Amino acid sequence: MEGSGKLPPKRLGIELLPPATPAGWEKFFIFWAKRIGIPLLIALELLFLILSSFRASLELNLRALDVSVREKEGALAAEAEFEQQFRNVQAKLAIMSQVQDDLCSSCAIDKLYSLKTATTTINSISIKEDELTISAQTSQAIDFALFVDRILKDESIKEAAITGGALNAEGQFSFTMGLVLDRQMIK
Amino acid sequence: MLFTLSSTFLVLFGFFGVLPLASSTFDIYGELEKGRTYEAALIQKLAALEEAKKNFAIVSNRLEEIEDAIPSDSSQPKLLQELSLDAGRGGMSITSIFFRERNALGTIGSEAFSFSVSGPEERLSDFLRSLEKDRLIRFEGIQATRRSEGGNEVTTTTIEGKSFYLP
Repeated sequence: MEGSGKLPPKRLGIELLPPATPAGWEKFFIFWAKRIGIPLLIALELLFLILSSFRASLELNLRALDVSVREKEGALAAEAEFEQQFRNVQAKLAIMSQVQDDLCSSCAIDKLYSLKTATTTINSISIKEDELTISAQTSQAIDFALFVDRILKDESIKEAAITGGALNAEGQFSFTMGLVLDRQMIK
Repeated sequence: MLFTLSSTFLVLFGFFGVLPLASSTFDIYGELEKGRTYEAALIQKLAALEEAKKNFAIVSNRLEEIEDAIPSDSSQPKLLQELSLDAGRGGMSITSIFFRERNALGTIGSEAFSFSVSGPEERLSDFLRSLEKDRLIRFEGIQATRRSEGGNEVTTTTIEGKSFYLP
């Protein structure tokens, strides 16, 4: 056994370096990069993509809106002349309506002449807004009473005031009277 | 090294990529909202114009009458001519006329004037009625006085009024 008794050479394995365990700042940097940095980058990229697609869709909507607005502006521009004419007519009708609401002067005078008696002579009439002031004279006292009675019974006269009266030498009664007329009823 | 790269990328991409994009997206969104509001106003105006066309059809047969009532110019000779014509129709004659002032009542202009007419008392209301036709006149004051003239009773009437025009 002595001559053949050589032991086979012991096989030596490759001596691997022990894994280096990072420590201190290096450990922190690697941790930061792997756990926070990369997810943050992915999140930012996703956000960028989402924003880009949202912006693209907004731009498309804006372009469509621009076309639609231009069409409508064109339609309005084509109607500008009609619009001006309509506005003018509207303004005219408004002022016409206002004036028509005023007291009808000719109707007020007609009303006054319809109330006066045959022997009542109207010397002057003054109309301002809804007020009618008259200066008149009657040859008979009874006519004056009848005139006043008609005025009091007339619904279109809201107020009546005798502001003066005098009997002259010929026996004629001269008087002044103020009447407030209802413009709605005198048409 | 990795840290530096990722930090630089975050800063560059975040501040120079995402932030401007977010800002411009926000601006476009604001612009789109404004545009939509403007479009809604245009739609409303178009609808109002359609409605106006329908309403206009109702008064279209009165356009001439409206134009006669409130003409586009404040021609004094024309007004004078019209007043004289009305006075003639009403059996009165114009003795004086004064144009006082012009004013603007919004878009409508007005011309204040006062004029005197004389004639028979019984024609006064007819005369006023003829004035109320055609040209729109607002009576601001009427003063009628009866007096004897050569054995005849004559009523002198002073009217303060306003005529209107739309330039």
